[in-house]
Amino acid sequence: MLHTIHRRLPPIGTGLLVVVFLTGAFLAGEALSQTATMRGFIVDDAGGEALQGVNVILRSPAGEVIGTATDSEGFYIVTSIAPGTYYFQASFIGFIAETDTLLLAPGETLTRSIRLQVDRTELGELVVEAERSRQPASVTAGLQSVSPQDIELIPAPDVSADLVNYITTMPGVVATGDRGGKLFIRGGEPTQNLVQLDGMLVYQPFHIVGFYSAFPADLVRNADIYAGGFGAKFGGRLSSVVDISTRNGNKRRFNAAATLAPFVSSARIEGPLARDRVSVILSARQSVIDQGAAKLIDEPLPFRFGDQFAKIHASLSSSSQLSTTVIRTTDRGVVGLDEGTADLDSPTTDQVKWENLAFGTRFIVLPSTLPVFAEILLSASQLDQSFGPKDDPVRSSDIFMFNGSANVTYFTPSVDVHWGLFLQSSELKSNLGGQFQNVANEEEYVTEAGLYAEPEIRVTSNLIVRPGVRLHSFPSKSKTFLEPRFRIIYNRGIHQLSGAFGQYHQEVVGLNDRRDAGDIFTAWTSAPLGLVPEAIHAIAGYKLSPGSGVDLSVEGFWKKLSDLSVPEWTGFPRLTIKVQPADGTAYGADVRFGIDRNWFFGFVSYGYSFVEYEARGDVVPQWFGLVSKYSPPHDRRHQVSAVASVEYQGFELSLRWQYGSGLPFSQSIGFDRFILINGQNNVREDPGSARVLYGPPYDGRLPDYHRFDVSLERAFDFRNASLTLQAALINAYDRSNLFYMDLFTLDRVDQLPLIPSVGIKVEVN
Amino acid sequence: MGGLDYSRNRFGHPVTALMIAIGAMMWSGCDESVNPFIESDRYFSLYGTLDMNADTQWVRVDPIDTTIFSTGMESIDAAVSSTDLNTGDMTVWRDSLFEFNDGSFGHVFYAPLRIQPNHVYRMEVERSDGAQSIAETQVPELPIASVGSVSRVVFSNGAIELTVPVSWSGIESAPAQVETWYRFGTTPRSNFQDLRFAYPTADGSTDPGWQIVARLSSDRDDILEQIIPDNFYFLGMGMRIVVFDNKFSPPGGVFDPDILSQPGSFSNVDNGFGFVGSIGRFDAQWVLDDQTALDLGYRLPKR
Repeated sequence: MLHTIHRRLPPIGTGLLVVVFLTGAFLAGEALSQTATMRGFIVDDAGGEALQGVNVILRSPAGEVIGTATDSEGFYIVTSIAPGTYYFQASFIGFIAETDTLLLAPGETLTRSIRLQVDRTELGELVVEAERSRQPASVTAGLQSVSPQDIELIPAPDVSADLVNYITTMPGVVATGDRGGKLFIRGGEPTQNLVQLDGMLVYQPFHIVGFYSAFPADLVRNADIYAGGFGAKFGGRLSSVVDISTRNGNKRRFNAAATLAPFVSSARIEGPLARDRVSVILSARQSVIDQGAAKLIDEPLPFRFGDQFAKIHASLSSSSQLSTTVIRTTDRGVVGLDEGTADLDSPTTDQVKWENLAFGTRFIVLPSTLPVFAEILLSASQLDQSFGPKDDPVRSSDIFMFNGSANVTYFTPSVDVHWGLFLQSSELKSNLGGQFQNVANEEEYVTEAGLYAEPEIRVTSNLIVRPGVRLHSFPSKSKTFLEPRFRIIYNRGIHQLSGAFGQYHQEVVGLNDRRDAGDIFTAWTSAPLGLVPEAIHAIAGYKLSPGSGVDLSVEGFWKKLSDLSVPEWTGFPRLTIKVQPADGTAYGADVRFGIDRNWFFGFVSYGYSFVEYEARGDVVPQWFGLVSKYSPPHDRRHQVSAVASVEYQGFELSLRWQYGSGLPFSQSIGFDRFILINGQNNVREDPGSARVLYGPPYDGRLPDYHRFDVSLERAFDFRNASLTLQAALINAYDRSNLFYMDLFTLDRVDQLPLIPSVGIKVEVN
Repeated sequence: MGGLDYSRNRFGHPVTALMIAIGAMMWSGCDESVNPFIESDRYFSLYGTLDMNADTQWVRVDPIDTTIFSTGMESIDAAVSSTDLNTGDMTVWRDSLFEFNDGSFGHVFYAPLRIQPNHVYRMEVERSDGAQSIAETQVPELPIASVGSVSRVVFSNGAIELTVPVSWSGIESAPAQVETWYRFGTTPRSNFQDLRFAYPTADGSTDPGWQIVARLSSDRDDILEQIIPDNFYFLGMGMRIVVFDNKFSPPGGVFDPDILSQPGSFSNVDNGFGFVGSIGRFDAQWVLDDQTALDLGYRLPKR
C-alpha cells in the first residue's frame, strides 16, 4: 500500500516551481531578441496520441527552408526564425499534411499544436504503421529506442507482446533464466538498472516469469534503453536506464480490448473523459499460468503475477499538459528446487513475493515567451518484498521513495541546454532474518539531491556533442559527487560514429544471495560497508545505415565498477552469508544487423562480454591461494539473437532464436566435514560441520543456453471490432536449459520446456 | 546512395544463412548435462593434533565424498599409518567409529604412540586403489624454562606490584596458550588445588626463545575472589605453555572458522584437506621466596 509522504521529507514543491522562473531569468536576454520561435505538439487526430518524427518545415517566400521533427512527446520547436511570412507544413507519412501561412513578428513565440488526420485516400492505417521507423540494429552510444511495433515482432506465449521480450534479445542483456525477473545489462546487476515509467521509478518491474514485465506493448509509446553511458538527466544507478513513456488514452472515442492465453489474460479500456482534452486508459493483466500453461505441460508452474495500470492525460492548453500515472504489480512464486511440489496457497510454502506501487504526476509546460520545454515530475514509488510462508515471511525488504524533479530544455539554433534538479527521499525497512550476517535489520532514511546541466551542441551539421555534469549528493553518507557525462555523435552520409562516457554513483543498492539462483529475494538497503558504489562507463560505436531498411551497428563498451557489495562465499552450507566489498570490470562488444522490408523484418545480433569481480573480503583470497578475482554468475561471454517476422496473406509469422554461452558457477571437489583444528579441540568429541569443498569461485560453466520460439498470428477485422488469434511454440525444440543446480543435493531445475500456446485477443472500437 | 538492394527474390539468402547459422549453433550446443564436480586428486580430509603429552594419538579421517548426505557410518576404505621420519619407525593406526553428540558419526583412527620432540611424523592415508593423502608435522622442540628474579614496583599510594619473568628457550614463535597456576592446600600435606589463569600469548620474544611475565599481584587479586588465603597454605606456582608445530599458523593468525573453512586455506595435507599438527605442553614450576609470598598475602606452611 502506498504510504503518505513521510513527514521527514523536506518541502520541495516551491523549489521545483521556481525552475521555470529561473530559466526565464537566466535566459531573459534571449527572449528579448528580435527573432521568432515556433513550437507545439503534434498528435494523431483520431485518438490524440503524440506523433514522433513528424516533419515540420517553414519556407520563406525566398525559398529558404528551416525545420525540425517531433520527438517522442510529439513536441517540436523551431527557434531563431527571422521575422516575416512563412509557408508552414507539418507532414507525416500516412497523414494529411497540415499547412498554413504564418506571419511571425520579432520576438514572437508562436505555439501551434496540431492534430493530424490519417490520409485514408492514399494509405491505410496498417501501412502507416509499417512505414514508421523500425531500426532494430540501430544503437547510438549505448542507446536503443524501442517502439511498440518492435516489441510486437518478438514471439511470446501471449497474443499481447511485452517489452521484456524485446530487451532480452538485445546483445549484452543477460537473463539468468526464464523466471526470477532479473536482467543484467552489460555486466551490471539487476538492481543497478534504473527503470522509469513516465518518469517514475519502478523498482522491480520484471515479472517472476521471464516473458512478462509491467510494460505490455499496447501501453508503451516508446522505450529508450541506455545500456550504459547515459546522460546527466539520469543518475543514482550504476548500470543502465530503461526509460519508458506510455501512450495516452484515446481522447476521441472509447475502445476496449481483452486477451485470453495460457500464461496471462488481460483487459484494457480507454477513452475520453473530456473529448479531445482529457483521456483515461486502464489496463489489467493477471497470470493464469498455474492453471493454464501448467496443465498444457502437465507440470506445476507455481507462479502468479499481475499488473494494473491507469493513466489520465489532459491537454490543458496548446502549451501545457498534465498526466497522472499509477501502476501496481504483484508477483509471487516458488523458484528453485521446490517448484515441483509447491502449493502457493499453502500457509507453509516458502515463496518469494513482491509488489510494486508507483504513482506519478507529470506537468509539461511551454512558457509563453521562452523557447523552453519544461516538465515537473512528482512521484512516489514503493516496493514491498518478502520471502517465506505467505502470511509469516521470514525475510522482508520494503522501500518507499518520493521523487520530485524538474527538467528544462532551452532551445537555440545550435545548442539545446538541458538542465534540471531533483530531490529524492527514501525510506527503507528490512527484516532480513539474519540472511546477511553483517547487514543489520533496520529502518533507514536516505536522501539524494542535486542538479544537472547538459547542453547539446550542434557543432556542425554532422557533429553533435553533449557534455554534461551531474551534481549528485548523498547526505546520509556525507558525500557529494560531481559526475561528468559526455556523448558525441558524428554523422557522415550513411556512417555514424558515436561515443559516450560517464561516471555514476548509487547509494540505495540491492543485495542478493547469488550462491543460489533460486533465491531471488533482494534486500534493498543503503550501501553497506560505508561505501557508495561507483561506475565509470565508456562506449564507442559505429553505425552503417545504407538505406533500403538495412542497418549495421558495432559497439564496444567498458565499465569499471568500484565498491560493490557482493556476497561472500563460505564452505559451510549455511543459509546466511556475509557481504564483502568488491570491484569489477566489464567490457565487450556487439554487432547488430537488421533488415526491414514491408513484409519482412529481422535482425541478428552477436554480443561478447567479459565481466570480472575482484573481492576484497577476508575469505575469497583464502581460496586456493590468492584467487580474489572471479567471474560473477551473470558473466555470459557469447550471445546470439536472431529475430525474424514475415507477413504473408494476412498472417504474421515471428521467429526468435537465442543462444547464450554457459554462465559461471562454482564447481566443487566434493563434500567433507570441517573441523577447526586450533590445538584445543578433541577430534573424538568434535563432530565438525558439513562442508562443500568449492573449487575456485565460479570457475565452472553451465551448459550453453539456446531456445527457439515461434508464433503465428492472424488478425480479422470487423466493423467495429477486431479479432486476433495467435498460436505459439515456446522452446520449440524442447531444449533442457538449466536454470539452477543445487550443489548440495545435485538436483537440477530446468527452464520451461516446450510449451504450445494459443491466444485470442478481441478489440472493440 | 549506394544502398544494399534486397529484392524479394533475393530475400531468401539472409533467411537461408540465418537458418544455417541456427542449425550450427544448435548442433554445437547440444550438451545439456552439467558436471558439478571438478576432477581432483584429493581423497581424504584429515584432522588431528599429535600431542607430546599423550600416549595415544587420534586423527579424524573423512573421505571426500560426492554427496553431502553421507551419515559417516559407512565403512571407510582407508589404511592409516604414521612414520617417524627421524627413526624410520612405522605405526599402523586402527579405525574406530565415533558417534558424536549431534548424532553424526565419524571415523577416528588411533595409535598408541608417544611422539618425540623435534621429530617429523608423516601420516599416510591410503585407499585400496592406492590413492593417498599425506600430512607431515614436526613436533615442537623441548624448551628450557628459566625463572628470573621477582620485580617489585612500589607505587606512590603504597601499592606494590610483583612480577616475575619466565624465559622459555627453544621456542621460535609465540606459544599458543599460556597459563600460570598457583597451588594451595588446607594443610601442608593435604590434597591441594591449583588455580589457573590464562595469559595473552604475545608478551615478547627473546633470543633465543620467548619471555612471559607472570603477574603475581594481579593474579593474587583474582585468587582472592576464589579463596580466602587465610584458610589455605600457598604451596607453589608454575607456568604452562602450549607450543604448536611451526606450520600450525592460520592465515591472519586467527582461528576464524569462516576463513579456515575455505578449502585449502589452512592445510598441510597433500592430496587432501584438513590439518594434522602437533603440540607440546610444557610446565615450569617454582617456589616463591617467603617474603614475596607474604607480600602477596599468602599463608606459608611451617618448615
